[in-house]
Amino acid sequence: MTKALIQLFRNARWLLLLGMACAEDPFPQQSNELVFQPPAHFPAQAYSFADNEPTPQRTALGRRLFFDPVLSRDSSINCEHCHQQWAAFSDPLHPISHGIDNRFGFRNSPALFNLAWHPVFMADGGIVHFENMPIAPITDSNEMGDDLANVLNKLNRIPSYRADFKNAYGVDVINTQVLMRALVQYMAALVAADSRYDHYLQGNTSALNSLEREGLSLFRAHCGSCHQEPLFSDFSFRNNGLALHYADSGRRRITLLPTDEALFKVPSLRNIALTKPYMHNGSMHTLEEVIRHYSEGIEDHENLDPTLPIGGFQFTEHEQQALLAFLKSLTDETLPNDPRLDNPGE
Amino acid sequence: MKKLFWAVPMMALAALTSCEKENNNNNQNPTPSFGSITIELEHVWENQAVTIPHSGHFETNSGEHIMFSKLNYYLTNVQLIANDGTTWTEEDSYHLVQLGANNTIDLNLQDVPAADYVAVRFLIGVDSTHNVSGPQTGALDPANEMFWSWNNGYIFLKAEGMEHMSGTAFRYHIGGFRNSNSTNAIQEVAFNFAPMMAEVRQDATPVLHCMVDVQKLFDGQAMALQVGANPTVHMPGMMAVNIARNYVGMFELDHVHN
Repeated sequence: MTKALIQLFRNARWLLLLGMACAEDPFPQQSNELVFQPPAHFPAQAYSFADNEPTPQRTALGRRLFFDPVLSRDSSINCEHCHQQWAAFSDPLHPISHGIDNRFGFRNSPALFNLAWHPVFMADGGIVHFENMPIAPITDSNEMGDDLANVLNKLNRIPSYRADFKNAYGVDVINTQVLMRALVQYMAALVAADSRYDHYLQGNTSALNSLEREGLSLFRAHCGSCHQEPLFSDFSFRNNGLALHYADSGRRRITLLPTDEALFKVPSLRNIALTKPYMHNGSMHTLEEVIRHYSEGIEDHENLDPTLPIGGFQFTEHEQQALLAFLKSLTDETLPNDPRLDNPGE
Repeated sequence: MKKLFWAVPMMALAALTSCEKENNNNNQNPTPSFGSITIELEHVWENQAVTIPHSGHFETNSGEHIMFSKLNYYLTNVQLIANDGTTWTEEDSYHLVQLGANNTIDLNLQDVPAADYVAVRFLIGVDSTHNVSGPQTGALDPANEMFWSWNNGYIFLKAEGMEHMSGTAFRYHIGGFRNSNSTNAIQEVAFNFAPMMAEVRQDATPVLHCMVDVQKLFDGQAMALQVGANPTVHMPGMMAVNIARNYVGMFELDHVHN
């Protein structure tokens, strides 16, 4: 399936190239142009595209920006630095995000996909709008470490960016708003909806084997209230009993409420086999560890989510195997491989 | 949306004006008359001018000596009320005041309907809608460094500098829009200056002269802010709310020129 899809894209690319080489007016290959497309089996997205209508030009511009180190202070790193396609746009090599000057942030860098459905961003929900999201990594001194005025100056001095923004948004001068809207176009197009689980939902009953289907039933009974299908998150803030005391105050950092101490946004479990390490602090390196935590390791934190039993669900060895098998069926076949999402400069 | 919002009072105004004109002169096209008005902000510490940079320092009631290196704030959502009770709301009303070499800063409001105004009100801060609608442009462009990227929302007032006696740097980044007493730092300033009137005409620009006594930031109605005790406030919360309650007292309408 994967290979067939990639082959299809490659063929279409060649057709396009041939078309451009041979004729003045090639038929545009609409189906192959990257643009946000909501999957039919997903609910309505949270982000309103009303002021930022998806277009191939805007998406291509966002893609160019995402992979351009011009967004960092010393032009050393791009967004891909912590969000790699093969890992579902996460960083599997570092427990904590790392930025310019060998500096480290304080949380695990999240996987990027299905972002248009997120009502708020970051593990503590401190970012309240999709278009605000890229401001944080660009300006954080531990990440790309630049300031927006300088980034805009740099972009405005590059004629091809001026032309791209003019073409995509009709502006003569690049400002924060259009910069963010372009990045959002590309990031919104990182849609994960093509796993074997999705094929199963869409009626292909053999897409999941019996162990995986058993895992799905267990998942729905014990995990699905927070990791709600089909996005595998309800985007609420909860404590999952990692420890009695947390170094990171989580949601409380934003709301200042003691009842929000050590609550973190429920992460999606799609592509989880690609997005190690796990938890807000990257403290678990394998899915086996994660399942063991929910089976027997849940600590009695004062804000522990009421749906979680102290001490864990006590899954049997077989049940743990079934859950693991199911979680691995959530790996997307398109997202990590789609050449349209890759670095356009490579 | 904004245009539509504006269109309703405009049409009402146009209708009113057209009636008058028709009574006076049937041949003339009914064009409403517009002018402008200036809000002049004169920054002082008691009666000394405050500029940035500034060689001197200012003493608080607590005995601290304050030197400013930065004083920026948002003055937004300006409304004028005329003596007939009609209210004019400035469109896209977001002004970033950045204190510099001149202690007086003029905000020029354009396209103000000709009328005799007796009251003004504005916010120090940014309304909650514009805090949650993605990056804005112009005065609200996050590139102006008046925006928190990690805990979204605008910084309403940024005061930075040093306490001269101890050499302690202070950084007050004040904001917070969420609808709770402990985090909402949006403050309204309102002056009713009747019987004085600001007479806006096509060819007459009145000036509302405000004194901005920055000492109130430290010695205000909510608290005695001391650099020694609180050198840094850079997130929403009760401390920010109290500092906002202090600085809203900086503004006093001194007089109106016509």
